[in-house]
Amino acid sequence: MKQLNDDVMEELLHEHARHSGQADEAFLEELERKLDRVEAGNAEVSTVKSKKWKPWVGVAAAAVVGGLCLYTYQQNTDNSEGDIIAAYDAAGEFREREESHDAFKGSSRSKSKKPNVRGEVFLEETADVAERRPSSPNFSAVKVIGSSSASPLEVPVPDVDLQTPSLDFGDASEFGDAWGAASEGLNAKVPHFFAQRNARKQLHRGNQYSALIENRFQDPSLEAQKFSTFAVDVDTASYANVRRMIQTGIEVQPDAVRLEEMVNYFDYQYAQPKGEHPFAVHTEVASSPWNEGHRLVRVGIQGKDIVRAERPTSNLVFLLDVSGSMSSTDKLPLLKQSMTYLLEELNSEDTVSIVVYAGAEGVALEPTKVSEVGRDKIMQAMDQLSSGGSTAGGAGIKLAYSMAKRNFVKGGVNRIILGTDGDFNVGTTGTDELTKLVKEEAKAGTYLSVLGFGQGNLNDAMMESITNSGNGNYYYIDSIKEGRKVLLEDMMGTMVTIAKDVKVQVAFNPKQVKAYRLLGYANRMLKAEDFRNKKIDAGEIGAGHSVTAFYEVIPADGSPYGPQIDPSPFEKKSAEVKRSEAPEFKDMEELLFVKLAYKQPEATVNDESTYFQVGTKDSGRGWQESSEDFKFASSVALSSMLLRDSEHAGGGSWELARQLANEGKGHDGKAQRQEFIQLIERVSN
Amino acid sequence: MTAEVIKKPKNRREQFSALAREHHLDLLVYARVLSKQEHVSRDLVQESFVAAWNNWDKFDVTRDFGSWMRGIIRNKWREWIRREKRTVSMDEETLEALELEMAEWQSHRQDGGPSVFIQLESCLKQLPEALNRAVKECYYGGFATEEAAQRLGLNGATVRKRLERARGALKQCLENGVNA
Repeated sequence: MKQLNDDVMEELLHEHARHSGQADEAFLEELERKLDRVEAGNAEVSTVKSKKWKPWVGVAAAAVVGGLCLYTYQQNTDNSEGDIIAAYDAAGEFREREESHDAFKGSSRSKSKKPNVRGEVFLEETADVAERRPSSPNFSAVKVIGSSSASPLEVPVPDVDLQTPSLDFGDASEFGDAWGAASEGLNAKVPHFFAQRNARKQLHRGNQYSALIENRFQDPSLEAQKFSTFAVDVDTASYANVRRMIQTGIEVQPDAVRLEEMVNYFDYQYAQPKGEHPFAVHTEVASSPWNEGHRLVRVGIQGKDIVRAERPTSNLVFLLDVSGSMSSTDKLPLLKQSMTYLLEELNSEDTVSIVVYAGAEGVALEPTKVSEVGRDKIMQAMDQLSSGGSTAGGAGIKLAYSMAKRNFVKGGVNRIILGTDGDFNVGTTGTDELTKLVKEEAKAGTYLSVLGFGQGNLNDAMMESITNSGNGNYYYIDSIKEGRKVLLEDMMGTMVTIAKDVKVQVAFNPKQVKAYRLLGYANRMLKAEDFRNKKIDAGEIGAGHSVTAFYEVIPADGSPYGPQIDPSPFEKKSAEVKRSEAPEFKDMEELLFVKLAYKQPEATVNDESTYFQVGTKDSGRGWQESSEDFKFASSVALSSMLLRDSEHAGGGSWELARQLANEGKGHDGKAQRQEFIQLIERVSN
Repeated sequence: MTAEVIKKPKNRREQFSALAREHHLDLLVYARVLSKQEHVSRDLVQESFVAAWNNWDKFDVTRDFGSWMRGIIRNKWREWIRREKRTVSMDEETLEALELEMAEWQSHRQDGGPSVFIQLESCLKQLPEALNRAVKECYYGGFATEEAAQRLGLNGATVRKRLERARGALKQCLENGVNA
C-alpha cells in the first residue's frame, strides 16, 4: 500500500471541510448547466452530403453559440485513454484529430472570435466555454471594466524556454502584433512572469486571486497601438491585503499585487480643478529610476472636492455576513467599529438599513434616519449582531436591493455596502448571476461597494469583479485604522460620484517615443474605439479622489521597436518601402496627450460623454529632481513589480525602492508613507 | 439533403451525471493536489467532465471512469501549466504514485467499502484531542494558523506541528482502513 503524501491529506481535509464529504451541489449544478448547453448545441439539424453518406454526428455551427470545437492533446507518455479531440466544422462534417500544444503557437486568433472570461481567444472547446462560465462562484479570471471584448494581452505557450527577457505575450489581437524577444534596455534575465508561488503549507490557500497579466511595451507609430486606453479605478483593496500578508509574514501572492491599486492607495498633492470640468489632469516626466535610459511619466487625475455639507442625501443598506467565520476580532467586531466612523458623517437626512445573511437572511434594522435617536438605534442594532451559522444561501442581496429601492433617493447616493470575509453565497449562485444582478441594479441607480475582512477565504477576485459591475468600490479592512480611513474618508468621497464612465486615452508622440508601457491597469484596458463609445461602462471618480497611473517610455532613437523581421520572398514590397510608406507624424513638442472622457453622475448610457485633452512636454529631468510624490509613487510601483517578480523591474531593487520612498516621504500627516517604508524594510530583509 | 435531429439519449446523460456525482469529490481533490489552487482545480475538473461528455461515445463503460477522468484532468493540468508558464511541481514518479493512491480509494469503494470521506470522518474521531482541535480550527473553522494559535492559546509553530502530526496520523488511519 503506497503512502498517501502530505499534499493529498491536505487537500482531502480541505475538501471534506467544505462539504463534510457530501456532494458539492454547486459544482454539480454548474456542470449540469454546461452539459445542457453542450446538448443544446449538439441538438442541431445536421445535413448529410448524400443519401449514401453515413452521417456521423455532425454539428451545424450556426445558431446556438457559434462553432464548437473540443480539443486536447495527447501526451507521449499518456495512454490513449486521454481526451480525444473532436472538431466539428460548419459543414457538419465530423473530424477527429489530435493536436499538440503547437497548435497554440501562432494560432490564428481572429478578432471576430469572442474571448472567454480570461480574455483568451485561442481556446475554443465547447460553446459554453467560448462564452465561458466559471466553474464555481469563486472563479473569476481577468475581469474587464468596459467592453466585453476588450482583453489583456494573451500569454503564448512557447515550447522553449526564453533566454532573454521576453516581451512576447503572443498575438495580442486586441492590442497589436506580437513582439519577439527584443530586450530593449532591459536587463537580461530569464523571464518568469508567474513564478510559481505555491502557498505550500500555508493555510491561506482559500484566498482567491484572479491571474494578472502585465501590459507590454507598445509602439505608438503603429496604428493598432497608437493609443493607450483604460478605465479609471479607485479600489485600494490590493494594498491593504498585501500589507496584511507582509505584516503577518505570509508570502505575498503575486496575483494579489495590483500595481495601480497599490499606487492609488496613497494621497498625492494634486491641485484642484479650476475650469469647467470636474477633473484636473497633472503629468510629471522624469527618468525611470529602474531603467535610467527610459522615461517615466506619472499621470494624475484629480477629482473636484465638494463641501461635506453639500453632499447629496444617502440611502445606505448594509448587507452583512454574520456567518460563524465572521466572529474573529478582525471581522465582524472590526466591521461594527468601522461603521461607527461612517455614522459620524451621516445626518438626519440620510437613511441606514441593515440586512444580514447567515443561513437565513433577515432585516436587522429597518430603514432608519440617522438623527440622534436614530444613530443610537443603528448602533444598538449593530451591537446586537452576532455571528453564527453557515454562510448559506439566502435572498440576502435581493432583500438588500429591495430595501434600497424602497427608500430610493432620486439624485442622492443609493448604495449597498456588503461586508464579508469570503464567498457570497447570498442568494444567487455563480459570479455571473451575481454580476448580472449588481449590474442591472447599478443601471437603475443603486451601487454596490464591498468591505472585505479577514483572510483565508477572501474571494478577492469576485469582490473586485462585482464592485466593478456595481459601479462601486472594493476595500479590504484589516485594522481599525484602515476601517476609519475607508469608512470615514474614502467611502464618503466615493459615494459622492462626481463623474462616471471615466476613460483615459493617452497618445504618445511617435517622434519622441519608441515604445511605452502602462504600469498596472492590466484588467482595466479598453480598446481604442471604446473611448468614444458612450455605451462602454468604465470607472467612477468620487469627490476629492485622485487617480494615478504610470507609463514607462523608451525614447525614440530612429529605429523601430520590436524584432527586425525580413520580408517574405513573396511580398511585393521591401521592408524599406513599407517603412517609407508608414504614416507621417507631425513635429510637435509634446511628449504625450492625455484625453479624458466622462459623463455626469446622473447621465444615462445613451447620453454623450464630455471630452477634454491635456498635452505634456518632457523637460528631460532626472528622477532625482522629481517631486516627492513622484518619488514615493514610483517607489510603490517598483515595489509592486518586485513583489510580482516582474521582468519590467529592470535594474530596480528593494534598496532603490526604499531610497525612493524615503526621499518621497514628505509631510506624511497620516503616517501612511512611513508604514509603507516599514513594509519595504520587512519584505526586503 | 436530409435533415436529421440528433440528440444524445437521456438515459446516457443520467448515467454520466451519476458518475460525475460519484467521482467529483475525489477528482476535485486530485486536481487540487496537482494545481494547488482551488479555483483552478474546479475549473480543471469542470472542463474535464465536459470533455468527457463530448467523448462519451468513446468510453467503454466497463472500464474505470475515475482513471479515465484523471487522465483527462492531467492533460488539462499540463495545458494549464504551459499556458500560465508555471513550473511543473510534480515529476512523473510522483504522478504515478498519486495515481495509484487515487485508484486505491476507488477500488476500495468499488468493492463495497465506504468512500474515503467517510473513512476520513472515522479517522478524525480517533485523533487525539489536541490534534483534533488544531484540525478543527484550521480546516473546519477557516482560521489562519496564527488565529487558530491564539484561540487555542498556543504559538503558531506548535499549531503547525500538530497539524503535521494530525495529517500523518490520518494518513496512517486511512491506509489501515483501506487495507482492511
